Amino acid sequence: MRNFKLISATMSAVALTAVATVAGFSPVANAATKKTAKKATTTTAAPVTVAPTTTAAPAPTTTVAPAVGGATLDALKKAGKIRIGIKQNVPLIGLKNPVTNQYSGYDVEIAKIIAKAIFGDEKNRIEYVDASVSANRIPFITDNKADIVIATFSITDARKQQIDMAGPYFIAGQDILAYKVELTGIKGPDDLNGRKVCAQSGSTSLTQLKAAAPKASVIELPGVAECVEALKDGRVDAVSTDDALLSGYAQKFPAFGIVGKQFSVEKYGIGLKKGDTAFRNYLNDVIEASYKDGSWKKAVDSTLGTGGVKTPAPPAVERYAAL
Amino acid sequence: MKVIADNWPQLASAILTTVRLTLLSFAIGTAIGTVIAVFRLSPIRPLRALAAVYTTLMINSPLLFLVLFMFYGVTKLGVILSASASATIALSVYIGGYVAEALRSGFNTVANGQAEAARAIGLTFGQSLRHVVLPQAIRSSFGPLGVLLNASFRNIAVASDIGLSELTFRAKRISEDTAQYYPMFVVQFATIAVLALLTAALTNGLDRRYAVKR
Repeated sequence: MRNFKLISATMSAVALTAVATVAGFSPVANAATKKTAKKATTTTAAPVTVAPTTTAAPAPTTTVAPAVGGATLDALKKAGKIRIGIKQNVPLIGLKNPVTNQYSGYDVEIAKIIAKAIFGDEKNRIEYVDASVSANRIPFITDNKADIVIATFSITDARKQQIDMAGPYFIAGQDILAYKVELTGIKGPDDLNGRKVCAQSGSTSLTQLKAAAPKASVIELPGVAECVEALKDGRVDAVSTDDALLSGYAQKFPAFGIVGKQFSVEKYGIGLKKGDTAFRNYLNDVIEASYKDGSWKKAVDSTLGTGGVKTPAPPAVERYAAL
Repeated sequence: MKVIADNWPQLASAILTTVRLTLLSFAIGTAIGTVIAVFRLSPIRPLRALAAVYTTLMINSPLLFLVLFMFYGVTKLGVILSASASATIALSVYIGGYVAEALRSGFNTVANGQAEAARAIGLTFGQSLRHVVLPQAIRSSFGPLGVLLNASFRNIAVASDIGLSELTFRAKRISEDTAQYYPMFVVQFATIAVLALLTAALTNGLDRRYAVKR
């Protein structure tokens, strides 16, 4: 019996080490695979980029709405499904109902528009990939975990180094969510100096917050939902990220208000694999088509519109040359 | 490798945080674990039960749960703990459970006859514990305790989820900012390897010096 106890204790210690190895090292292991995956795509992508641009060049002459989508579009059509990275925990943007497993929100509507364009219908065509953790969005694309990512994904030059981005399909601005201004006196980013502010790690909000309020003490948590939780708990004085992300929480918790002083321009784009110019052109075509046929406006009105965001003019898509 | 040099001050402070908080948690955890292990041996039945419940709970609950509970959960009771305090408390109570088990295996190496002999010469429970049982138990637990310390250096990575600026958290951020994952992988690997070797050397040294020769 005594020996058995000794063995079980040693075994639990070994098991602990094994668990710890997995828990402690998994991000590292991911990083390694990321790197190799990235290497593979960049080396193979180089010749591929040349091919679609040459074949895509004559495409505009035959202008039947969405033009050539390249090998990616063909592959998707063949698979009959598209894997889209979507936030699952942000009201009015991307929210998963845990009971019905239904998705709702603006980004979901955009995803449906794209699925409809590709397959002719959107029912059961979308495989949702959980992109609630902002820092996962780029790896999802470089590691081929998702075909595209639609998750309040701001178009930036740094991101264009690693992936390509279609759109923008919406323009948001960074704003502040806090208890009502009468209580806090927070009227703009300047008032955040000397206060505790939460931002999502791995997002543009974080860098811009540090620039706009250098003396704010910034707490980084994995997502907006965690930040709002911290605000409710009184751990932080404010949450700062895109107004489109915050509006749902302002609607859900009447005690909170959005300050209403945008201090950045966030162009939401659709992330896709770097070098896939043909498919990027296709997505841009789909976005533009949705501006014309009214489906884009319907998407905004039925989601962000209910949270008090006024329907803006549709932003012009940016067709940049492949980097 | 330029990324490592460029971000070295940040990385160094993150490594320091990892080491500091792990050692602190391990020290507190060892204190908790010793008390629990003594409870486990004590002649008082409720204390024995309490110790059994504690170790079972700690060994079977995920560390991430404890960390998240200390960060998000206890605020609902009106206590706001910083990320480092949450992580230290969670890791301490968690380690406590394992230390208790490690020491119990140490107690089991002390022959029953010794405790009986101690009682026979009139030592109280406390005295026999202090002078006879506990010293021997600790001296045969260096191995498991070393393994535990080694695991703790890695386990604290769980706290990166609550924004604690330890090694894993900082390395992730730098990888994201620079889009270079491999150098940060090397830093994390090298740090953990060095810490593991140091822990092993310490454990072996203590073992050679103090282990009970039988």
